[in-house]
This record gives sequence, C-alpha cells and structure tokens, in this order.
Amino acid sequence: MSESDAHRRCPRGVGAALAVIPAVAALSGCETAQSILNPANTVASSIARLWWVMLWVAAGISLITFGLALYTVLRPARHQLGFSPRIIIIAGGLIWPAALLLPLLAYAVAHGHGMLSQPSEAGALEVHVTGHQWWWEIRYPDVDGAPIYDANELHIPAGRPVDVILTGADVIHSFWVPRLGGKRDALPGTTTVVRLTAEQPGVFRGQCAEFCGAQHARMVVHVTAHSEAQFNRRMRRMARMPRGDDGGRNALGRAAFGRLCAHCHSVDPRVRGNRGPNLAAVAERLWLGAGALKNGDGALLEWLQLHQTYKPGNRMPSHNLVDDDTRAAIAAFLENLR
Amino acid sequence: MSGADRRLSPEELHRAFDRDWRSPPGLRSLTAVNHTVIGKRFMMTGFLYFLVGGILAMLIRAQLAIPDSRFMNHEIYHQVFTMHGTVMMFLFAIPVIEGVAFYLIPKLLGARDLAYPRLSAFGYFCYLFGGLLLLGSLLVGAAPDSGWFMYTPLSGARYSPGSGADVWLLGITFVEISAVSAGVELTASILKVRTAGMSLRRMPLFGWYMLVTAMMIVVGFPPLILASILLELERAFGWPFFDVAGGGDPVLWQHLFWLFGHPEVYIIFLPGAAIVSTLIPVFARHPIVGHDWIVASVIATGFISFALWAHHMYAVGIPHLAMVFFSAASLLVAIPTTIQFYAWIATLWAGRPALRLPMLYLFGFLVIFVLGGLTGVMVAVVPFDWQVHDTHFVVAHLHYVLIGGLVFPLLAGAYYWMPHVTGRMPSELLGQWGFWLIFIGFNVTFFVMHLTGLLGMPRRVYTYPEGLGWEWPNLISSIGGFIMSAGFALFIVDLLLHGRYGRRSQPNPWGAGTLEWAMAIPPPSYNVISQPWIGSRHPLQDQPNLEQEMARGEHLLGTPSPGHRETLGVSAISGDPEYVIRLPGPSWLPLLSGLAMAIFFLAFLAKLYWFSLAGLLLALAVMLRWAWINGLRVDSGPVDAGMELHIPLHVSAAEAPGWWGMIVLLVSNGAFFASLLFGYFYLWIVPMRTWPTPQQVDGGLHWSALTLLGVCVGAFSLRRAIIINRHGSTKRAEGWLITSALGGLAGLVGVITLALTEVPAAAGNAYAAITTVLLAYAGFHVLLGGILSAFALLRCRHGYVSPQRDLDLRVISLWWTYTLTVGLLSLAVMHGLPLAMGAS
Repeated sequence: MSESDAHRRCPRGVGAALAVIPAVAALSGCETAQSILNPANTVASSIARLWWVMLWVAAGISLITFGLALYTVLRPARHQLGFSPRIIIIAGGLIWPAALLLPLLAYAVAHGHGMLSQPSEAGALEVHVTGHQWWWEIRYPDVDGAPIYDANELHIPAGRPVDVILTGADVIHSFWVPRLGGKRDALPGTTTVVRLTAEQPGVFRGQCAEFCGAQHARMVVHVTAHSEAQFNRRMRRMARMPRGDDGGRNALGRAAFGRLCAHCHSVDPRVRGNRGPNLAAVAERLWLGAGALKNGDGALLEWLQLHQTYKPGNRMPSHNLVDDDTRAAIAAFLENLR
Repeated sequence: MSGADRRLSPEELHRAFDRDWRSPPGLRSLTAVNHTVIGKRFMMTGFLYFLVGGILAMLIRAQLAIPDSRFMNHEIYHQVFTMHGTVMMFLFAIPVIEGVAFYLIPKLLGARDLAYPRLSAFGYFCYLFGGLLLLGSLLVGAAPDSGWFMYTPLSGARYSPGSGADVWLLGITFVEISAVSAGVELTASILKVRTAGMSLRRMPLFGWYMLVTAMMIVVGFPPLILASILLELERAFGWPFFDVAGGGDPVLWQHLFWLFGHPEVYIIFLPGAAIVSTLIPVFARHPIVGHDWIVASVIATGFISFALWAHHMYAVGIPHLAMVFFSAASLLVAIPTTIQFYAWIATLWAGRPALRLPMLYLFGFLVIFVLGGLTGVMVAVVPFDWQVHDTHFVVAHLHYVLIGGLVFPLLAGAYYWMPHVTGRMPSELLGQWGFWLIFIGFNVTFFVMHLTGLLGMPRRVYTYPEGLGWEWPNLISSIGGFIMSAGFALFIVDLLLHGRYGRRSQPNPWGAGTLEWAMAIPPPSYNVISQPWIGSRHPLQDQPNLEQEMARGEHLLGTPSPGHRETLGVSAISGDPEYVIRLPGPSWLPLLSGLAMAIFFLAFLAKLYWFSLAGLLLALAVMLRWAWINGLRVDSGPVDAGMELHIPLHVSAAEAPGWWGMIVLLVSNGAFFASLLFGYFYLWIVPMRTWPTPQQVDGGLHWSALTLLGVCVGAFSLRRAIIINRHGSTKRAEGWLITSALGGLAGLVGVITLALTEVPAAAGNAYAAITTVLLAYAGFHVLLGGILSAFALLRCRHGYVSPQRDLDLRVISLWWTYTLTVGLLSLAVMHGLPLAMGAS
C-alpha cells in the first residue's frame, strides 16, 4: 500500500466512525429510562435541544476542517494557494471560532441561569435529600407539625417545582435524574439545591453521579411524579401510617425486627431512624437496596438473605446467622409495611 | 586551545570528546547524567508504565463489556480504574514528555547537555521509585481506590482506612518532585543553554512549546503537592483541612486538585502540539506559517489554562457568576488552539506535503483532536455539563483530548525521531497497519462512548444493569479497545524489529531544518563536535555545509578540553554567548539522594515518622555534598571558545545556570506558597462554620518580632557579605555569613516558639491546622536559610568563593530574600486576618 493510498482511505474511516453513532443509537434506543436524550420536562428538553444543535454544528465544523486538511494534502500540485496563508489563520483560527463561541456562551449563560432555583419563587416544594453510602435519605416537609421520612424513592407532585435540598452524610454524592435535568453534588457539611419539575406523572430513574465508594454503581434514586391530588393523598397517608401495626398477627416478626433491625432502621415515617434507611413504606417501593433488586413477591426475603450478594459491601451486616424462620418472619413483617 | 589542536581529524575529535562525555558501562551506568541517556530512560520507563496502564484499561473494558459482569468485584475494579488514570496521567504522560524534552531540547538548541545533568538523573530516580511504589501496591492488592482525583472525604482516613490512599499521596508526591525538577531543568536550559546566535526569535517552535510547558509544570504542580501534603497530614495526624467535623472543607481539595489538574491537560497537550508544529513544516516542505501567531497562542494557552480549573466543578454549586467566568475562559481557550490548528493547515496548504508515515499519525491527531476539542467546547457550556458531567461522555471527551492530543503526536514523533535514536528506519508496512488498528480501534472505543454517556451511564461504575440501553455501546467500546491494543502490539513489534533489522538511515532522512539532525545518528555522547553559530531559524537549510563545519570543529567549543564537559551559556533573549558552562560528569549522588527520598516516603508510609525524618536529613546531607563539589577553587580568566570568542566560565558569570535555577525554583515555591495562602483564605472565608474561633492567634507578637528580626538579619547580612566579598575581602565577608546563620537560628527559635505557645493544637480544628502549616513552611525556609549561610561560610573557608566567584553567595541570597518575603506575608496574614475580619 502506497502512502497516498493510505490517505485516500481516511475519509472512509471517518465516515464509518460517524455512521456508528446512529446505528448504535438505533440498537440501544434513546428512549431509555436514564437517557439525557429522552427528556421529560422543559429543562431537560432544552439541554437535549442544545446537544442536538451543538452536535450538528460540531459535525459541520468537523467535516469542513477534515475536508480542508485532506484537500491540502491530496490537492493536485497545480492548486497553489492564491492568497497569503496568514488569512487562513485569521479567518479560521480567530474569526470563525469567535463567531461561533460568543453566541454559544450567551445562550448558555442565559439558559443556565434560568435553570437555577430562585429563592424568591413561591410555591416550590422543598424536599431534603441526603446522600449516604449507598442510599438516599428523603425528608418531606412537615405534615401536622412533623416531617415525613422516606428513602431511595422520591415522590413529587407533577407540574409543581420542587427544590431538592441536598447534603452528604458521609462522602460527596451527586443527585442526578437525567430525564428531569442536570445533576448537583450532595456535599457533607453544606447544602446545595437542585430544581426538579416533573411536568407529567411518571417514574424517572436517576443515580449517584459522583464516585462514592464500594457501591457507587448501585445508588439509584427513583423519582415518582404524581398528580397533585395523589401526591397530597400519599403525604397524608404517610402521616397517618399505622407504623407496622398488624394487630399482633406477626408478633415474632415484629419482635425480631425490634431486636435485630431497629437499631438502624425505623418503620415510623415520623422517626428518622438511625444509620439505615427508613422502612415505613418499604413494601410499596419499586426497588430494594437503592436499585439493587426489583421489589415483588418474595423480594424482601431474598434481599434479607442475599443482600451482600446483590450489593456487596453495603453497610447492612449479613444475616447469615439469623435462622430461616426468624428471617421469614421479619420479611413478612416488612411486607406489611405499606 | 592552541592552533595545533585544530588539525585533529574528525575521528580524533570524536575520540577526545567521547572520552569526557560517554556514560560509564555496567553497574556504573547508574551514575549516568547525560541527557540522551536520561531522556531515553524516561521514555522507556514511561512506555513500560503506559503498557501497564493499557492492561488496566483492557481489564476495565473486559468488565464493562456486558451488564452485571462478575469478572472483577468492586474492590478490584476500583483499584484498577484508579490506577489506570493515575498511571496514565502521572507515570506515563508527564514523564514521557519530560523524556522527549530531555532527549531533544539540547540537540534542537545546538547544545551538548541540559543545564543540570545530575538533577535530571535525580528526577529519573524519583520517578522510577515513586512509580514502583504505586505499582507495588497494585501487585499486593492494596492500591488506591478512590479515583485518580482522590476527592475528599472519600479519600480521607474514615472512608479509606487502608494504606491505598497514602500510597497515592506519597507515591505521586515522589513523582511530582521529578516533574518539578524537570520543569526547573527545562526552563533554565531553554533560556540559557542554547547555541550561539539562537535568539528567542530563532529558537525552534519545539523550544517555545517546551518552555511554556516547563513553566506551567513549575507553577502548576505545586498546588497538587500542597494538597497531597495536607491530605496526608490529615490522614496521618488528624489535622482537619478537608474534614467538615474539624472545620475543614472537602471542596478545598477539589480547588487545589483542579488548580493543578486543568493546567495539567495543557501541559500534556502542548508538547503534543510541539511535535506537530515541528513535523508539519518538514513534511509540508514549507516553513511554518504564522510562527509568531503560534508562539503567541502557546503563551496565551499557558495563561488561560490557569483560569479554567473550576469548570470541573460546575455541579458542586459554585456561584453562577463564577461559573460564567469559568465557562467563558473555557471557551476562550479554544481560540489559541484553533489558531495553531489553522496555522498547520495553512502550512500544509502553502507547501507541497509529502505523505510519509509520521504524517499518517499527524492526520490521526488532527481528526481526533478536533473532535475532542469540539466536545470540550460542549462540556464548557454549563447547562450541558450539568447533564454529562461524570458520565461516560466526559470519559470519551477526555480520551479524545489526551490520546488525540498526546499519544498520536507521540507516535508521529516516535516514527519521526526513531532513526535519530537508533540510526535505523522503521517499517512502513508495520507502521501503517499499526496506525489503522490504533486509529480505528480508538474511534470505535471512544466515539460510541459519547452515546453511552448521553444514555445516562455515569463513569466509575463497576457494573450496570440490563435495560438502560447501555449494553450495545459498551460491548462495541470493549471490542474497539481490543482492536486498539492490537495496534499498539504491532507498534511494539515494529519498535523491536527495526532496532535490529531496520535499514540504516542516512543523516537527516526527512530533510529537516533543525539542529538535532546536524549530528551523526545515533547521536554521539557529546552531540556536536562544535556548537554552531547560527543566523536563522532553519540553520540546516540556510547555512550550507554547516554539518561539515561543525564536524570539523570549526564552530564554538570545537577544541576538546580534556576532563571537562563544556557547553555554551547564552543570553536568554539575544542568544549571544555569555559564558562556558562546565557540566558535572557521572555521579552516584543522584541515585543516593533518590534513595534517601525513598527512605523518607517508605518510612512515612509505614508510619515510622521519626525514621522518615532521618531519610529527609540524609537527603539534605547528600544534596549539600552535591552542592559542595560544584564550582572552582581558583579564579579563571576568560576561556577561548573558538571563533575568536573569549568568554568567562559560568562560575564567575552574573547569570549562571545555578542562579537561574534558583529563580525558577523559587517561582515554583512561590506557587506553592500562593496555594497555601489560597487554602488559608478559603478555609477562613468559605465554610463559615468554626471560624473565627476564640482560640485564634491573638498574641505572640514578640515571638513574631523575633522571627522577623532573625530573618531580616539573615537576609541583609548575606547581602552585606556579597558586597564586601565583591570589594575584595572574602575573609571579612565570612563574619557576615556567621551573622546570617545566627539570624537564621534566632528566626527559627522565634517561629518554633510561636507555633508551640500561641497556636492551638493542630488536630483541633482547620484553623489551627492550616496556621501550623503556614508557620512550619516559614520555619522550614528559615532553617534552610541558616544552614545555607553556614554552608556558604564553609565554602568561603575552602576557597570556593572569591571576589570573582560569588555564585554560591548570590544563589543563597535569593533564598534569603524569598524567605524574608514569605515570612513577612505569613506573619502578616496570621496576625492581620483576625484583626481585619474580627470587626465583622
């Protein structure tokens, strides 16, 4: 293969590479649960639109520059430059990028500002979310004079702005629900705010975006947007929750939970609990272990047995020493928390 | 130096020079200091570490090829990805750049060696040992695992209790010593150790790029060294700089890290661009178009790159106005890069490009780097970054920038300079196969990875579930990764085969105009028989017969001076020869000081703190010995440098390399101090939690006064000693040196008492901790100042100082002036800030 042959291959190489993206996109589908390209509200849509605009502009710039570069090498010898080569530097290196970058900056500044939570704005719901290794603690605003605690699944009213006030309990985490907008870090010792607005009811997957240790990969948050009425109903229901009271049918499970689990976990939505996630409505959750195991029939028992397999290194001690009956009773007790 | 010597034949000249310049064989090759040898060692070691980093990358791709993979567990995976980033950034990219620069800079500048040959050897050992420490931890499964930017508090003692984080902090600091010494070495060498007539305007672009890169290293690495020291102090002794419970702030780590980390990206890219700017005009067969535009762009890049660091922190929640500033700066830096890009295009357009193998890699560079630059502009846009930050989109972007910006130019450079290093030509066929495999494999891996990120996959996850659309792009990336590896395997085969079977290269095989091709290849130990007096930017093209004249010894320093290694020192700007530098030959001291530093770091890692102190003292002793054997004990008049030129030896020159080296070192030190003050103010202002406390320093003014008095006496006595010595009385100057040393002692007593009596226990809170560090920093400078004054006294006593030879005194005086400045500032900040802020 001669050298010039090698160069004539170059455009094909690039072309093939460019064709890969749509092909893979088609295979994977952009319409997935955590895709930036599958926006579910105005903020995420405007960022996705920004991406598509930047992509096409970038594709145009790339093709022009690659074309220019190839032309300079492959042109016939008689095609000499008819003007001072300095003009290329000034036009290509100075004027062109300035003309593209300034509007981009202006657009970004204006839009970025609009996405931030404005403290003066009335009507926003304030929810406190605390990142723990490796789960999310959630505190809703006061109902009847006391807050409501939950974990890993954030319920919000659709159509109303929600200010998620973030902090980190141990290390830095980052709260990110791509279909609803950008991420924000949850830092220990301080709070940050991210504005979340779901315009339609639905479930939106998110996960921790800042590396936070062993189970960073399994620190998922699900945001469920309800209609305003449903959301209010849920809050009131949580406030009145029977706190695991089943009329004494599963006394064994209740006692075992109290003995083995209650040091860390609370089943009362009005009590935060100690180190572990609040389990007030754990049976209603879509997932267990912050996205580690899908909830369903028998899932709670399976989780109690195998949580160190589903989520190795998580902070809950293994329950290998608990006998099967007790474990089943605890699971049954938890099944009743809804 | 008589006329009779001029009749030596080239062969005799070669033997005469080689006798003084060649590096010793066998075990004693550890004493080698020559830049060609050290440069090759850096490159070889860096390439080996690159292979390690590459294997780690393949492990990552194997793990992520399928969802819910069980190939590695999280403990191993986290070590693997942390070490992949760490090895590639700290053990491959920077050291290989240093190696290339060490090898090429003296040759391109027509010199025989770098300014401080033993310093480069010392840097090599620091690099080697630090790297081995890191790799050793990987072998025993105790490698760092909190990611290559080591965010606190995850990397703190509570959440990373093992020794992995200590290995990182200590090992990287060890390697950074090497980087900073390389920065000092290259800055001073490029400014002072060139050939005659090479003004800055005539200096090859490679020299400009490396000058800016070296200065960026000098200023850019200290923030990370400081951050590493602070975090190690927190981990080892519980001094809370980053721990919220003690009033620290984890975000301070991010600021300090990226204050280093973003310039680092350009420290990596500029040398890549340097290779491109060197090769393009050769293969375009046309001088570079827009030379001055390129120089201005490179300098602008150097400055702007220090104003971008917070663009890694948009998601932290920094004020919006600050984000606008950093976003604007991040977009602005695209302009100097684009200017360089179009200067290359314009050069190709104006010339008649020849398509040789290195050009193939340059084209690979152009394509990949343009794409990386475009995604760089995208992530500089704040709202978009809020989405893609910490996703695989960013992973794709940074690999486009780093592999495009450095690895492709390095491969182009490898093929371009391979005949220079070995005297043999590489194989075009293997080279082309290697290129296409690497180029295609790279793009398959990383082009698709943008999509992986857009589909919402965060970086640094060791596993992912099915059903999120990430399966296909990950599998494709993994396949691409293995294609790329095959390409690198071919490159290695080519590298090994050509050394044995490649056909012999003719001199200057590419028809280049720069001086590295004016010597025999492979290059002799002394580079050039005589250093040319050049009159243009392309001496080989503009001065016919230059190579032959040089080889006959007709230019400067063409007469062997037995027992000495000599090279020219020039005026930094005009390139007029100023003095002859006599360079040191092979020495065990670099290895010994490297080993002493290794004792320090290993003992600290083993928590044997007193023992580690012994290592530090040993290193100081070896380095004082090193400084001791410099210089001359007799005055020497001007020497005959050939071509009717009579210039002094460097020991009696005003701007000797040692003086320049101290200036550059102090600039670096100043960057360290500035970072420390940044940390001090940051911890004061930003957390607003435990400060100001009732325990803040409000007394001790008398001890501060004693400190300042001591430092003033130390600094002014030394100046006095210089003046008196210059007036002819070295004997009387000795008295002032005694006063200076005593001043140091008084200052040390003052600052230690101040720290012990007035500052609360450092483990108590962030204020006490950072104040202690500030005082320790000042105290260290006073202590060393005193030791150096005593050292100067001994030098005078032993005849190394005379009215004509006062370099030692002037270098030490620089240290004292610096000490006075930082002492004043530290004490002013410590006492003044509570007063200034107390009112509010």
